[in-house]
Amino acid sequence: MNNESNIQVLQDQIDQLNKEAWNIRVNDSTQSHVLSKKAFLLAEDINYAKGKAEGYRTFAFCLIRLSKHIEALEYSEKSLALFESLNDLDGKSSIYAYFGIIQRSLGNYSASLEYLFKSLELSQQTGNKESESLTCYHIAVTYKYLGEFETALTHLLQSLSISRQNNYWISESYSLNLIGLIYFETGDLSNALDYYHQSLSFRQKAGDKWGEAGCLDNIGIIHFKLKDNSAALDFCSRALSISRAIADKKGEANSLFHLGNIYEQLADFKKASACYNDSLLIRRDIADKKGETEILLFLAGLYLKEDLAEKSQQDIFELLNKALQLGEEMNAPDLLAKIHLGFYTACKHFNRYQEALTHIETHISLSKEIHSDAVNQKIQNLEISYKAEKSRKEAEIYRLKNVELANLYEESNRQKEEIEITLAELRSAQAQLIQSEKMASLGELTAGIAHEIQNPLNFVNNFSEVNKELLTEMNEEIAKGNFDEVKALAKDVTDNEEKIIFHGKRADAIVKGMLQHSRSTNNATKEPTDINALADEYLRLAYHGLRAKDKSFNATMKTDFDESIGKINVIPQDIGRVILNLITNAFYVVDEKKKSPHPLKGGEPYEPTVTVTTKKLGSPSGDGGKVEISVKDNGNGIPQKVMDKIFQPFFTTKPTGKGTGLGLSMSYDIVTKGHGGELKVETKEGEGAEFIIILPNKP
Amino acid sequence: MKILVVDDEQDVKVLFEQRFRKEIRDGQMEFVFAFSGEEALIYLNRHEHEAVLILSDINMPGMSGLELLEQIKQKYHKPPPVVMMITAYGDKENYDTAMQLGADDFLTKPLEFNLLKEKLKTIS
Repeated sequence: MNNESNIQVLQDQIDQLNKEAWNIRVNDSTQSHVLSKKAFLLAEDINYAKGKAEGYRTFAFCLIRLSKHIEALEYSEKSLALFESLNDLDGKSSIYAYFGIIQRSLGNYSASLEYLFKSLELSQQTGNKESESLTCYHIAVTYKYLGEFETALTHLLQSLSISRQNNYWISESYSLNLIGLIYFETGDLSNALDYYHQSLSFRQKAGDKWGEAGCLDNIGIIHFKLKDNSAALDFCSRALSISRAIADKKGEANSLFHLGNIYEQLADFKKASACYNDSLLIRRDIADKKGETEILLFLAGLYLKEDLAEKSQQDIFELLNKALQLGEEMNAPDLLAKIHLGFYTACKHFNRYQEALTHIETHISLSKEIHSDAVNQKIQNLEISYKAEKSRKEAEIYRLKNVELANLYEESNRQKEEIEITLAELRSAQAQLIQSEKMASLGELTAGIAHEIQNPLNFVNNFSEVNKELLTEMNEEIAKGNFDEVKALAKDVTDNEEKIIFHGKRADAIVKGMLQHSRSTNNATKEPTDINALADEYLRLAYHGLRAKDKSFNATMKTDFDESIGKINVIPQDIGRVILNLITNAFYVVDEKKKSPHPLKGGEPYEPTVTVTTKKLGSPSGDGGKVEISVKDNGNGIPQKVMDKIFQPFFTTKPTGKGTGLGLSMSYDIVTKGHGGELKVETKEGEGAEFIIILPNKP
Repeated sequence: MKILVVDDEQDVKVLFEQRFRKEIRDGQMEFVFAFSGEEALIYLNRHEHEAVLILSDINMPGMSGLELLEQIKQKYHKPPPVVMMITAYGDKENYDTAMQLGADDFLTKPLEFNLLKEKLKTIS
């Protein structure tokens, strides 16, 4: 077996030990104490953090049960450090609870509450309900110590409700027992009895012997108070035998003491004396000085009773002196007051009046002190409770704030989702709109096509029919030998044929233009393009194209290219088509102006000029900026009334057959939709027009 | 019968002259042409009561055929001449508007000249 799997086996063994120790910590603290020690010693050997932490924790719990608080504190601190390094919140929560219990037993109630609330917060954070219910119980215990019964009850009810929802018998039985104790201390014996019995049944069912003995003893005391001595004897005896069986010394001493009380009430002084003495030995053994003193006083009181006359005056004062010694050691005024009262009673009994007077005076002055101390203590306790409540309320406010924040976060998440859904809906609506716009523009196109096709078709159809008639007539004239008429008819036929051909081509051009228009939305890809070279190429193409058609055509071409532009990302054939279209239009208008009857302006001869300019525009936003391509003519300009129509499909100012009316609308689509740019026009009537393409300069 | 034809397409003149050449030769019909609504109004102002029938296109630069129709029917000539609309836009909206403005008939392009001749005969 290699080392690694060896360690694994050991770790598993430690985990198993710890688990077992933890499970029996309440019902069998003695065994749990042994197992947890074994576990942490093994864990220390292989430096297994989790094993150590859990071992120390259970060990600390058992030490608390044994009332070894300082030692318990040491192991709790060791355990806490490890749980912190392991970031084990549940572990931390339980250790804080132990700190709370230890501080309480040391009389530091404020610190106790502070630790317990810390523990509570952690257990609520991790959702550990069992730990939460137990901590609530311990908070109640501390409040009970502070005399804050009402607050204690609130926490007990909270603990009970969590326990009952989740069937946690430990916290439920403890809470029930404590409620009983509170009723007992407030004098409500019947309610106290009821709760003790409820608690008892849980503990019996769960096999919690330690707790069962406690309940039985408590019930016994109630019967004692109710002067039902036989029942009292029964319960306290049962408690005693259990405590003996589980070696619970403290419980054993308590039950013996209570049995002594009962026997004393029954005037069975011998048995009472035996019980007190047995209890005294145990309390001495477990160093319970307060308990020891208490018993010494009870014994002294018992010996004063007539039937135990064999006990000498010396025995009684020996007991009292021992008690006094302990009381002074502990410097406990309440005990000292009781001791001096005991002395007084004894002195009076033996007719030592002078001493009796001194003791009663000491007793009275101590009682006063105690009373004022008790008042101060009460005030102090109230302050502690108030502070604890306040910090708890602050914690609650903090928690509520967190809840609110969480809600806000959730709300904002929800809103975000809603917005995203809305956005998706908008996108889909937008897509539908674009689609319907396409359909609408298809509708517009269809109407335009109807007009543009029907008109040439009108001529094609009708001239053809006319020619058919003319040819029939021609045949008739040939038959008549009237050749002059034949010649005239033949000329008409030829003229008509030319019209047919012209209008046929016109329809053809319209269909081709339309196809080109629809193709402009094809998914051709953008590529880095030298916009100056492109503009120059199309300028020449346009010029020579026009010259080829019309030999008389002539115009001045000017270019002003910004050489700093470099390449920009466009679809070259599309932008080329736009430039070609704008330049052709420009040449057309300057040619028209030249041919018009008034070519002179201000006496100077008109020189038709088309200027193509490129310019890099500044980039205030820091992106690639923009590039401007301008095509400017010195024609007649665009009349204001047609300005808003020039980009509409099929709008043209050219004579019928000379333009499809699709050039500018197609160009507009290419620049705006295809390239995210702008196509603007500036004009002054009579002075010319300038078409400006602005393209985003994205490399 | 004098007929005024209004259309921005120049070839309409040649077409009408050829298709009605027999009627023109026989003196049954006389055609005059205007190439815009404005031109038509000028002619009508100058030659009141001469034209019995007006055939007008609708889609023309400047004044449309419908505007011309409105002017003729509302402001000019009592009794107003017969006006027939001839258009490539044979849609319902155009038809309804034309009828509402008082058009006497509504024909679509490409024009069926045989049909037109039949209609003209019933008028004359």
